[in-house]
Amino acid sequence: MVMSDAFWIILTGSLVAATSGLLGCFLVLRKMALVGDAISHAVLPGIAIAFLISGSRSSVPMLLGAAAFGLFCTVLIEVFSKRARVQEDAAIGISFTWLFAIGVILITFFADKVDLDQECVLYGEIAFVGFETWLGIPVAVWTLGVLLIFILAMIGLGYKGLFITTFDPEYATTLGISVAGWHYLLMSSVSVTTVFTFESVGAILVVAFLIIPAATAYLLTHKLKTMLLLATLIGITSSILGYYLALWLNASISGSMVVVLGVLFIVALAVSRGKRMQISAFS
Amino acid sequence: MTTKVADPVIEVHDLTVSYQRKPALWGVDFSLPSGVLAGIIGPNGAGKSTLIKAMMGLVSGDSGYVRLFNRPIDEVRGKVAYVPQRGTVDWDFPASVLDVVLMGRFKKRRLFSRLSKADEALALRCLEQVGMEGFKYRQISQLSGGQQQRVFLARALAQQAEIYLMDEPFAGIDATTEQTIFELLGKLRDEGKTILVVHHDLQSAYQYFDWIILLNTQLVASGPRSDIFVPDYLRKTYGGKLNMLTSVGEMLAEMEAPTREK
Amino acid sequence: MVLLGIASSTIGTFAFLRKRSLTGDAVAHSVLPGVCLAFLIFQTRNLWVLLGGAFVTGWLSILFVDLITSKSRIKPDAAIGIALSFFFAIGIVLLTYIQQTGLPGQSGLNNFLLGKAAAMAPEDIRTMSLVSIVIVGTVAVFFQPFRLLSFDPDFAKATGMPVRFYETLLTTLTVLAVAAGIQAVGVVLMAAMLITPPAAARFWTNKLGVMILLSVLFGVAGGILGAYVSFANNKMPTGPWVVTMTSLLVVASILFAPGKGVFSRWWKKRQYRNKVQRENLLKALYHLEEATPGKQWFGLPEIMEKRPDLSDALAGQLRQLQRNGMIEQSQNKYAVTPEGMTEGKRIVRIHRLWEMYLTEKMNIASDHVHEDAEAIEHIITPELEERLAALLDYPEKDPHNKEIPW
Repeated sequence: MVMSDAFWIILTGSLVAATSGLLGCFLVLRKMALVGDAISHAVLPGIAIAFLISGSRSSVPMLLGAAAFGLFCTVLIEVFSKRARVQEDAAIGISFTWLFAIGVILITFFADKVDLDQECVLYGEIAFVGFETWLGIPVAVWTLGVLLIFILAMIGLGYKGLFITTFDPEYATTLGISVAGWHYLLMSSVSVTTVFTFESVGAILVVAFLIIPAATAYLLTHKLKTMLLLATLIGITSSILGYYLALWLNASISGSMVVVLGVLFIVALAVSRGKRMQISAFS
Repeated sequence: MTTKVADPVIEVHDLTVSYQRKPALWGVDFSLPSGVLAGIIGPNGAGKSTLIKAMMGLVSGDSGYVRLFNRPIDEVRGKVAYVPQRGTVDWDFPASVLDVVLMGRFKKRRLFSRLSKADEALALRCLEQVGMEGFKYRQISQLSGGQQQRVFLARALAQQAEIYLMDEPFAGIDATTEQTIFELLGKLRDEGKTILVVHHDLQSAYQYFDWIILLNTQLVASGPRSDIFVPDYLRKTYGGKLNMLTSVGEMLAEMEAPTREK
Repeated sequence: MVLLGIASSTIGTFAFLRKRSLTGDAVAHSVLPGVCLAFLIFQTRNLWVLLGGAFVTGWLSILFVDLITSKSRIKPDAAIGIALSFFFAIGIVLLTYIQQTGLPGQSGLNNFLLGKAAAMAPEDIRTMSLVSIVIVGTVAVFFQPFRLLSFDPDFAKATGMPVRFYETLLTTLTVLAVAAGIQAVGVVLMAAMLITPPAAARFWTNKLGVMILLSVLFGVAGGILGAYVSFANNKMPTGPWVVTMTSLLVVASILFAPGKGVFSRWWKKRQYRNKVQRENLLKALYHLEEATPGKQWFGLPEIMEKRPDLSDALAGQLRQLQRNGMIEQSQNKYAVTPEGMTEGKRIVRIHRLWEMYLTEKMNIASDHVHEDAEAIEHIITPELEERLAALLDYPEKDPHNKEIPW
């Protein structure tokens, strides 16, 4: 069975969007959207080093190592803000720009050994997803599929822990639940997801997939479970529509997917506004 | 004046807590017998919330210790329920009233298993007790301040604890809620539970509590309400600032010096 | 690079103080679609035109963030994330669209992504100089209102200041700085040019004027160092090196800045610990003396028995006390001088006064006060001591019925 490129690209986009969207819900609710942004930039040096050592793009252990840089970034932010008493927004800004800068330096310096061009860093290569396959299915689909299953399992099993530490961390502490443990579990998941989705959508657009579907879903529902479901669906929709938008404009596929996400967000913003005005008109 | 209790449920011993080297609580010492409804009273910035946070292990002390049932808090968390201030959480969070109350059934070891039907039935009974049974599927973003407070209370009830520590449950709520909460606390006390409430209003304190702890960075007095409600203690708590203590506290912060030598 | 350093560090200081550092990041990502649109519409690479486009979408992104936060439950952090990634994606789509149209002159456009300082033409530099002058000039003129706005916006509003106008002006300057700098350092790293220098400067001073100057200094230093590295090694990109160098300046500031720096705090702690040790030593000698009146010589074992916790530091501190004229030494024995006696007495007096204060005025049980007084005796200044004594009405005995020496 040979599937068309279009199918694989949309599927890859959907997997990226679904995985990021699920994690993004928790980031948005924890008011850590920008930490997600920071992590997605900060994994760049890790990826560069992973490529340098393994010489390939799909060495899973290497990429997991790269994800450690994302965690390192959250630790760096904490060191800057808690120990050195830099205000938090600046701590985030300094940490990720610095790590990103180091990443760019590494890529330029080892340009002959690291097969990563700057374009890929910025907007990914989802168009070429079909180039590398295993058992007739693109490698990216395999890895992202496994990742999605992992994330789903984590959210399914850890739903209560994530829920309580997000809603009321202080209360969770009084029950003896480790708030820091859940925090780092979530941050590790975001780092790993960023690294694995990086190749498809690029470092900067990952953050769009993390935040926009979650924020859109947040506007549309008052239930956490519905929010998770909606974020996934919104991500998949944008992946389908974005592909055809890109085809029509002959432009970047991942960029187009995010443009669709942005438009969906604006629609949701208008709808939720309208609903609220209706309610206030009645009451 | 501190009334010593022979067999205390709660014992706070020489507790000093500081924020960025500035002491918020200084050498606080008191104990509570079981089955009392006690109020912690004092002016703004007296360290009232800090005291119950320290008791729950949410902030750590420079010196002294807290013992509940003669044990450190980490060993008895299952028997102690905490009601935080309403304002500490984001009420826009996508959750229903029942979702929040069910949190009271979460336990460290059972975090990965599903909640049972019994847990849910218990949560509903707790909602009934606070008069919110009709709101179980209501989204928390649509609650009034008083209703939010009652949800928090129901969540603590769902823990089926022996000790309840509450941070300003009477702040900014309607008269009905105030009455509901007050009656409920009385009922808990009659069941033999020990309740410690942070309260800012001196006027209503005498009516509400049978044990009173007067606090202003240091402990002014602790004991049955009639022993405590005397002008001298109240003046000490509210009247005038403790200049000496404030100056020394500022000096400690400035020199970044510890409040204990070791 | 230097010009950019000056402009962005100046304006970044205000963004930093208003805790809006990451707005700069959103603006930086959002100028991309503006640049592309301007290019598409006017089909020119004239920097003024592209700057105009960048300026418009940069501003739009800020309005978008404001719209989201004011009209919905979404919090500012998510709003910034949405704005920056959405605008950036539009930019990417436009950029890739332009690339396949084959329009002439489009090749330089992707410099806006990662920046290429070396590729800048002389007229680009002229443009940037002008922008920098405008920014620095405006800040100089409106320094007072900007300062008030950054430190206390509520008060500023209360005084009837046109807060809205000044906020808009500050935002405009931020967008201008970003639009001008983007070509040199690129979208992502532009944020660092705004955030990092002020963060480093904050460690050195509490004064706004000084902070701006230092911030500019760090921005320029980072710019020169980074440019040097990239020129010395022609494979190296300028922007990332500038950011790395400036970040290292932050780390250096965290470590070495006087007052707030790690090193300085460690030094202060050490100094304090030494002072405490010396004072404890004098106190011990005073106690030894108190037990049996009359000048006496004590050997090391006797002193160590009194303060076993000081045994490691004993030799050094004794030498220091001797240098200060507090004690004298003769054949491995030590005696307190009159000055040392006075000092030791003072510490013991404060200790006992404080115990008195805690028991009398703070209702703390007398068996709990010793530990506290051990720490506080090193803190209390002569003025505080006088107040304390007056408050307690110059007592003669402490709670343990020991005499308070005057």
